[in-house]
Amino acid sequence: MEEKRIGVYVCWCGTNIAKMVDVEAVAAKIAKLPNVVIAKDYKYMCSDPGQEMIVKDIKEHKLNRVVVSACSPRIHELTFRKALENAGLNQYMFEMANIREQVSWVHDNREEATIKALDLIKGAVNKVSYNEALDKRSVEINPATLVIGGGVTGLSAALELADAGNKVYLVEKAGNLGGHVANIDLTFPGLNSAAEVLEPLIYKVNNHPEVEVFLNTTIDEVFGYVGNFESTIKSGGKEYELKFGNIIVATGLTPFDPGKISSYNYEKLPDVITSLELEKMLKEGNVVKKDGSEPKKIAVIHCVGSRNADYHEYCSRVCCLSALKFSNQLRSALPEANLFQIYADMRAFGKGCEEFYASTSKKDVMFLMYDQQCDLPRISKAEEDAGYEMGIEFYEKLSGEDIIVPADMVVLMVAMEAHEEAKEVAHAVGISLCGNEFYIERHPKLDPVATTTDGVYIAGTCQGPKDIPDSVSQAKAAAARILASIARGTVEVEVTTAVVNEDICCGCQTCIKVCPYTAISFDEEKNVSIVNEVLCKGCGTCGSACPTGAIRARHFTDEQILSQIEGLFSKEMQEV
Amino acid sequence: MSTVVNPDLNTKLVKFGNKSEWNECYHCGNCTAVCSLTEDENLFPRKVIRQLQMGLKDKFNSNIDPWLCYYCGDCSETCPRDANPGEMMMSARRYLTSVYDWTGLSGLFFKSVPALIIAFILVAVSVIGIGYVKQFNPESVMEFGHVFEKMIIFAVVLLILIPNIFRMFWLTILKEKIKAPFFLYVKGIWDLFVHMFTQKKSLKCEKNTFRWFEHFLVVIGYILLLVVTVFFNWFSTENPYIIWFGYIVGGLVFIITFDFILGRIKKNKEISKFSHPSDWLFVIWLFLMGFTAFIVRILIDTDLISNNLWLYIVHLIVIAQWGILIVPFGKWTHFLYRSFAIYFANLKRAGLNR
Repeated sequence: MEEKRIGVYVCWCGTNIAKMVDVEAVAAKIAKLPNVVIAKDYKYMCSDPGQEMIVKDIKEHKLNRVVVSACSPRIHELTFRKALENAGLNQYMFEMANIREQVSWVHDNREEATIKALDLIKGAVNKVSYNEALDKRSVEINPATLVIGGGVTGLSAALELADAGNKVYLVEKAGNLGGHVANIDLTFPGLNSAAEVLEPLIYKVNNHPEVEVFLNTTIDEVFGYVGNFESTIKSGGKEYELKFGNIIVATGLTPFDPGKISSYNYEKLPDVITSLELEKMLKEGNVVKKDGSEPKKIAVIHCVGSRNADYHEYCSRVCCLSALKFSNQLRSALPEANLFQIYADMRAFGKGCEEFYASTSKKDVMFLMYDQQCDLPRISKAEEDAGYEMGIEFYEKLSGEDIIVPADMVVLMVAMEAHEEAKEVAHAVGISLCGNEFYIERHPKLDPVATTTDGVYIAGTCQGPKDIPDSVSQAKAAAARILASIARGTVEVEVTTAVVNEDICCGCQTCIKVCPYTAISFDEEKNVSIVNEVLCKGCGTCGSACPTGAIRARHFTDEQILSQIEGLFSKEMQEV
Repeated sequence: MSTVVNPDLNTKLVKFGNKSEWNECYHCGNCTAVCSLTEDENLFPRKVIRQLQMGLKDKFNSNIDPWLCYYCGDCSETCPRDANPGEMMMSARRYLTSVYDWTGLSGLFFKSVPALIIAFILVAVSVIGIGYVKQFNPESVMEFGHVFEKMIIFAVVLLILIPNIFRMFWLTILKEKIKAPFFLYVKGIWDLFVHMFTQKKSLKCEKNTFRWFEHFLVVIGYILLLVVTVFFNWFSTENPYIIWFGYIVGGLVFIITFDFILGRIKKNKEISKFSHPSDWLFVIWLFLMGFTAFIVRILIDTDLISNNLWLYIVHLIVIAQWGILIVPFGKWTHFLYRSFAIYFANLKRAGLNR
């Protein structure tokens, strides 16, 4: 067996680690451990000079294993693995000890923090001694893509992919394409027709040779892994076997049901309507009360179901501007009407939107602010001779007055909710939901359209409330990610997976039951479990559940873990 | 008890101003933050704008705050939305003038230029008619003119100004159920007159020093001109001191008002950017009063008045239009309302703190 020559690097992270951990003392002590050839401390290991130092040392001191004790491996493990590869070393001969998030940031006793840092590094040094060289695997990418959802997001994504010459299967639950945008009259802030946005998209998709549209269709189950998914769908009485390399989930939103807020008396008072109902009236060019007469006073209430801990805490992002848009449309349709905007905060962010707010305020609209910390506005029927149908009573924040807004029609700006079937779709494609039932992205800032499942992307309002431009941006971003993987042709997958020692496996199938990624199948002939290495995420659940010890999680073998634990608890160097 | 909001007040006030940009106000509060005159008990202009936008008519009608603003224009310059709060306060003062006026003529003249022109023509025709009746005899016309001036002052003060001040008192204090200790009513009188003749509060606006000085000279000049013509009979006196004194105060009035008119033409200051017809009338008629009085006295001193009686008739028309229309129903009333507002505001402060 070759000699183990380990290099250990202790990062200061500026003062982030150095202020709470005596990094110099740690490096000096670690240097005395067996097999450790050199141990150094450095201001920023992740910097170019820091990485170059590792490369140089590997070559000079013939290191064959490296430990960096710095921040979380989530942040820089890949950085240092690259450095190892640059020096000609297998990238798996590397371990990270997290002495920032787990030590310096969470402790206030420098002496004890330093001991803990030492322990963590000892564990990492022990583990790295047993690390084995592993080779990355690559799989081929099927250039076809499944797009779930035929709204403006799904349509945009499908076209982007198909225009590049790739097959797209577009699956839509409803009987027509267009989603919610199909019900909108005008878009903000330019007051352009929504149909002008949507119709060309639908036309192109329907006539694109590369796009196959399935209406009235849902996805129940998807099998496979990145590059090689498959699903069976039933559409129009026929069954289709679809094979595709990537998935874009664009299932969109469900509007909030205002019936949940009792003070608004939705469906009890005839002329309390939702923003969607008003859109329909505007589109038909016929804004009338239920009795057919013209409303003389119209109030719009914002944040119905949004920004309220009892319903949804998040902001639905489009209602403020939609409400302003309504004021503009109603001012044109009913020039004499009194218009009221009852808002909580006016959030007119984005290109041209603050300007739109300013120009709307010139159109004889009364803006009134309600306080979501107080009772929500209460809509009730007005007295017979009041001269108006309903009174909306609330505490007006800017004046400090309790007021009643007279109205013949009240429009509720309903919140955007995650799609009602979001959970089912998530289960089918193997992605997760966040607290408010929208799909969770891989990284909120740096990877907003990817999910934790390789090959599955999310775009549009299924990820969170957004307007048309943002939805389309996400659609195109997801398409770009997929086009990049199609262009590469193959995708590298982690090899830190589980392997079954068929000689020891007794065929009990416990592993199959515990695997969260359905990555294990059973070979009836051999009576053993088989791990699909592409689906396996290397979580190790099967390994710990296996009664015979037949399953071994690569990179996290029993001896690696046990020696790491040994290192953590060894009495050596327990003082500074 | 909740108040029903009412968009009509807003529409109504638009007629009292040149601009209705206050609708664009989104209540950032910069105007109130930058104002050197606003106080905890009297928050303006933001609060006034809010009452106006929401149509809280009772509150707006009872609000003294518009009179406590001396329009330096800082608020309008600071406004991020160009909602022009300064001009809104100006419009509010015009509107409130019409609210206090029991005859309703104030509102009519502020809102309708044709009505104003008709009224001015009627007064002019009446004066000429009287001249005709007096057969354009200089002595009897001037004698009548002198009696006429006193009659107007007496009638306007008794029938219009005093009742309207009482209406202001009723709206801002009695109706609001403000109870101030009696000694403050007495103690405040001194302050009332100090403010009436000095407008010293406007000095708190940083940019106002020169304007205050000009305004102060005009007020003093105007009052002295009134005293010297009405009570010392400037046009008929032989006393050289009174004659010279009349020349000085008359000149003072028309020279400074000429500068005011120039300012409104040039629009180089925030305050002179927007001029309502009532603003133009006020400064131009003040100028004409001083100027025609000055010329008439020159004609008397040079014995040319008999051949140029029409100039005295013109002076009399200006005086009559001023006294019958501008003083009781026009911008002149701010002279009273501003000083009484300070008096009432003191009472209100004491009443609220009780």
